[in-house]
Amino acid sequence: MVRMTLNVDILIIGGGIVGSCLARELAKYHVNVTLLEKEAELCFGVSKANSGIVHTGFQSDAKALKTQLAVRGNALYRDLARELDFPFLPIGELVVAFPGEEKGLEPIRKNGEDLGIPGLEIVDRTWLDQHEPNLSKEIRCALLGPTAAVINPYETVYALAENAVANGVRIEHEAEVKTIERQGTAWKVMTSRGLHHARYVINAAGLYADRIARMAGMQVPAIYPWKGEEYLLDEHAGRLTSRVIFPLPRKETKGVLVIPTVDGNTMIGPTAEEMFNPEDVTTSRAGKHWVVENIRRLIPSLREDMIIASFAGLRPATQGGDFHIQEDKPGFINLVGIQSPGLTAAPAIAEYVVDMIGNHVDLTLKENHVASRKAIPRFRVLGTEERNRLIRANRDFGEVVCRCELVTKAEIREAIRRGARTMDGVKFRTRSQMGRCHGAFCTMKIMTIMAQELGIPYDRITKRGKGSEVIKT
Amino acid sequence: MIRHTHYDLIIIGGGPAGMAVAVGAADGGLKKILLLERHPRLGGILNQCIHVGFGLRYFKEELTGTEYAFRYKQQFEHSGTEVSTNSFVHKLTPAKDVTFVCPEGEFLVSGDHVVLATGCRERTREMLTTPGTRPAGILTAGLAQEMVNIHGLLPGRNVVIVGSGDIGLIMARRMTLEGARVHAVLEILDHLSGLVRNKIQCLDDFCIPLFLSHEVLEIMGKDRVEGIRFRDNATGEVKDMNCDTLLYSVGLIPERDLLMDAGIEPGNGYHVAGNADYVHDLVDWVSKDGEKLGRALRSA
Repeated sequence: MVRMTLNVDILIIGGGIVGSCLARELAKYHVNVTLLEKEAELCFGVSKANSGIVHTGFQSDAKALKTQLAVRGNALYRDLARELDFPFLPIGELVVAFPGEEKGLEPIRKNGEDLGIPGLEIVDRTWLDQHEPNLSKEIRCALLGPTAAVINPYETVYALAENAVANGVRIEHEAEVKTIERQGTAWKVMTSRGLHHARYVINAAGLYADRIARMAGMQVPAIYPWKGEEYLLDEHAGRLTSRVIFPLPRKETKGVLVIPTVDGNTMIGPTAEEMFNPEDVTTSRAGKHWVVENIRRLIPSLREDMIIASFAGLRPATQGGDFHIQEDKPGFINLVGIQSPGLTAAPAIAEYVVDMIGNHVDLTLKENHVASRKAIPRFRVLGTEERNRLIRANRDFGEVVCRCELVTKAEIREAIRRGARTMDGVKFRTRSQMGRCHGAFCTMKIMTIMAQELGIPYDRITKRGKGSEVIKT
Repeated sequence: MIRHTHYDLIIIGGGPAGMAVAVGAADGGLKKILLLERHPRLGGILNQCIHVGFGLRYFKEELTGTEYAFRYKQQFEHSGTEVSTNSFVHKLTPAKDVTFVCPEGEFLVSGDHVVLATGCRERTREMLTTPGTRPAGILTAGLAQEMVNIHGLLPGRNVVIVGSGDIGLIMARRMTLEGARVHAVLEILDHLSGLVRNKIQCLDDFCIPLFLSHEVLEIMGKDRVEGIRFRDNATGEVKDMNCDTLLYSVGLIPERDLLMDAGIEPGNGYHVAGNADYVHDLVDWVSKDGEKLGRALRSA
C-alpha cells in the first residue's frame, strides 16, 4: 500500500537509540523531520538487547571518534535523564585485576585521564572488601570509574521519541526502506508504506546501515554482526555488586560483565560471537555455560539457578572498529558501525550530526520547544500516600495486572496510549511480563486491555509485529 | 472496603485452599476472618478447569473444576468470612501487617494469623533456559488453558507439549478437542510426571504419543514458532519436528514470594496452605488439609 508522497527536510532511517537521539535533537529546530522504523515499534533492533551501560569511555582508544563521542555522551546523559524523566543510575564501574594483571590497570587510567574523565582511582583489596563484598577474594585491585551509569535502553528510547513527537517529529513504523535514489536536490526514499522526498537523509539503520548506504550508491565499511547473549538474574538474588564490574578488557570485547540494572536485578554477559546472519538472536547452552563460568571467576557465589531470563542481541560491528559518521554524498549522512559504546555516545552523535547538517542548512531554534517529558508513573516504586493519590484520581491504578512486577492497569493503558502496539512494546514500557512468571498470569489481562484500547480483536495482537500473533489463526 | 483493621485471621488467596482454611477456622471458633482475593471472584485456578476429575474424594462424586468451586463456595459462605475481591496483597511484615491494593486504595490490615493460600506458578521455558529463538507461540500449559477455557481462543494449530505434567496432559486433550493437532508430549525424565489416569484419558484415548527421556535442544522460528530440535536421550538420536506452538508443562512452584520478599519463615502466626505449601495432586486433599489447618488456629 503506497501512500502519498511526503516532502521532508530530514529523514532519519532507524529508530534505535541513535535515531531517537537524533529525532529528539533535531526537534529543537525549525525543520520538518520524519523517522522511519522497519519494525512495529522503536527500539526493536540492536538497542533492545543493549546492556544499558553508560560507559565512562576510558576503555576505548583515545584517538578514536567513538571514544570522544562516548565521553561527551556520558556527560550529556545526566541532563537528558532529568529532562526526559527516564531512570539513570550513576553507580560507577570497576575494572578488576587478578594476580599478575595489576599492571594492566595503569594504562587504562592514563588513557582515561588523557580523555578528561573525572574521578578515576585505583582501589585496593581493603576497599573492595568494604564496597564489593561479593567479588572474588582473588581480585587484587581495581580501577574505579565513578561516572559510569546504567539506564534502561528501551525506556530511554521511548522517552526520547515521545519528546521528539511532542515537538513535531513524525514517526512511521513498519516502514522498511526499499529503494533510495537521488532526484535533483532531494533524496527519493521509497518505503513499504510510501514515498518520501528528503533534503537530508540520516542513515542510522544499525545492522542494516551498510545495506542502506549501498542502496543509495555508497560504499561504507561492511557490518559483521557480533552476537552477545545476556542472562538476567531473579530479583531474589538481589544486587550481587553495587557497580558494573569489568574484567581487564581483551581484544575482541570488554569481556563478560556484571551489570546491576536500573530495576534492581543483575544481568550477566555478554558473549561475543561473530555471526553471518543479522537476524540470528538465538541463545545457546554453550553461551550460558561460558557466561556463568566467567562470572563465577568474578563472583564465586553465583548460582546457575538464579537465572530467570536470557536474550541475545547483535552488535553492528565493522572491521575498522571505529564509528563511521560521514556525509558520504551531499545530503546523505551514514552512521555505520555504531557498536559499543554506541548507546553511551548516542546523545553526542546526535549533536555531532546536527553540527554537520548545520554547515549546509540554516537551523534555527524553535521558540516553543518543549524540553521535558514525564514518565508513566511507576506504581511499584511509590509510597502509600502517592499510590492512594493516583488511585483516587484513577481506579485503574488500584488494579494490579502484573503481579510479579506490581504493574497496574493504568500503567498498561498509558503505555498503549503513548504508542505501545505489541506485547513486547507494553513489556518494555511497563516491566509487565518481565518477572518470574514470564507473563503466564498477566498475558490474557494485557491482551484484553490492548483489545479494548486499540479496538482490535485478540487474534491481531502480536508479540512484536506482523507474523508474531499470539493467537495463531 | 474492609470492616476492621485487625482480624483473627487473614487469608491471602480465595482458591480452594483459602476457602478451606476459612471453613476450618470458622468451625474451630475464629470469628473475625478476612479473605483477600486478587481476582473479581473466588475459586482460583479451578475456574479455568472445565474438565472432570475433581471431587471424588471430597464430595464423593465426579465434578468439573468449576462445579467443585461452586459447591465449595456454598459451604464457604456459611463461614461468615469477610471477602475482599480485586485485592492484591504485595507486602507482609514480621508483625503480620498485610498491605494490599484494590480499586479503593492501598490498605494495611493486621491479623493474629496470616495464611498464604497463594497457590503455585508454572515453570517456564525461560526458567529452563531452553536455547534458541524467542518467537510467539511459547506458552505455559496453564496460560493456554486460560485462553481456551475462559476466553475461547485457540493459541495454536500444531502443538508440541513439553513436559508431562497434569496441566500439559489435560491441555493435550483440550487442544485436540478444540481442533488443534497435538503431535507429541516430550518428557525429559524416563517416567510420566502427571497422573496415570490423565495419560490414559488425555493421551492414549486421543492417540497422542508420549516420548519419555526426550529433551528439547532448540526452539526454531523467527516471529512464530516453526519447530523444535530434540534428542532421544536413550539413543542419542537428534530429530526436528515442525509445530507452531509449544506448551510447557514442566513443573509447578509453590508461590511463597510474599514471605521470601519479607524474609519471613512460616511460624509465629504465619501459615502456608494448599499448593503454596506443596503441590497437591488432587484438589480434594487441598480442601481437607486447608480445613484441618484452619480448625487448629486459635485466637490470640
